[in-house]
Amino acid sequence: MKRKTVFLIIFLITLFAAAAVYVYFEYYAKGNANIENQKTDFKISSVDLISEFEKNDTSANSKYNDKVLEITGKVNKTIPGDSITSVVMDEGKNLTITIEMYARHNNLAKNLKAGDNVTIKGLYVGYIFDPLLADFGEKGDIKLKKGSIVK
Amino acid sequence: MKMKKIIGVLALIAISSTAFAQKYSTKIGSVSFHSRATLEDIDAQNNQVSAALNAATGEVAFVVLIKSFEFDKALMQTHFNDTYMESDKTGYDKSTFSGTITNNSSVKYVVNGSYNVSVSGTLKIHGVSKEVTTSGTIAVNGSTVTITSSFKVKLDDYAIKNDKVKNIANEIEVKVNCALSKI
Repeated sequence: MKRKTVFLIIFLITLFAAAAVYVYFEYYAKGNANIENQKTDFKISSVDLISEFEKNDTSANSKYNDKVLEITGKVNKTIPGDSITSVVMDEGKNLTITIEMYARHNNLAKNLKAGDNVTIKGLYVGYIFDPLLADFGEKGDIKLKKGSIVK
Repeated sequence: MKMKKIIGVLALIAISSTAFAQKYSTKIGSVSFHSRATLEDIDAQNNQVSAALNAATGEVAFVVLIKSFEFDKALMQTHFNDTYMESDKTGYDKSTFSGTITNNSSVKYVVNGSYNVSVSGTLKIHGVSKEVTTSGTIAVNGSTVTITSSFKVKLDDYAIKNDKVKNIANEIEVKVNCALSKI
């Protein structure tokens, strides 16, 4: 009986310690998800994505909220930064798409040229279609981050 | 002689009007913040800021998506979005600033250099709008205008709750660094 209690206590302590370690690494100290390895939720062309937002921006926003997208379209331009490059797709509508690429793909992203056809995977962040910026003649922008080139 | 003068004046008008009608913008400006508290220091970075500036009037606008902020730890990012900023709620997904550079006339947008500026306007965070005034610099380099500023934001002012645990400072230091190009 006594031995059983001791075993039970040891068992519980081990379980607790294991749980604590698990929680620390899996929960507290966990880095951000690698979008590149995550399953794609939607595959869509840049033209279709933009027209969905033009039809109903609110519903499109909630549809893509926190989702991983693979967007196929033409590069309008790249905006190279020190360590991060952003890729812009512009289909001549009131909205553009800007994807902030992963820093580790900076060299690949920098090499993209205007007119290139690409498929880019990234995490949908949101869209800016604000009258504050429209007053300056600025187009709206659909924003993604953690981008990687699929092909 | 007279002709030359006229041409000169016309050229001046042309130069000044193009310079003054100029608008600048970016889609990839940076805003970062730092929270210093006893339990931990928290830093977050956002490189997806949309901003615009009208050099003629000194009007500026910044729009920041809350979900664009990147933290080192996934948990911090989740708490930031879900608990503090409530970024899934309508109107809470963005922070905006729109205002005017009060000493815009002292900025020479055609001359490279760094100018100290003062900005007044409305800062909207977490659905709450407040009138603010802050200082910053405008650095002109050819067709690029870089706006930098650093200011403090009190969580209480924007109804951001912070009563759970004391691991977040009551005052957050925000840094803005946006390079705008001519539209």
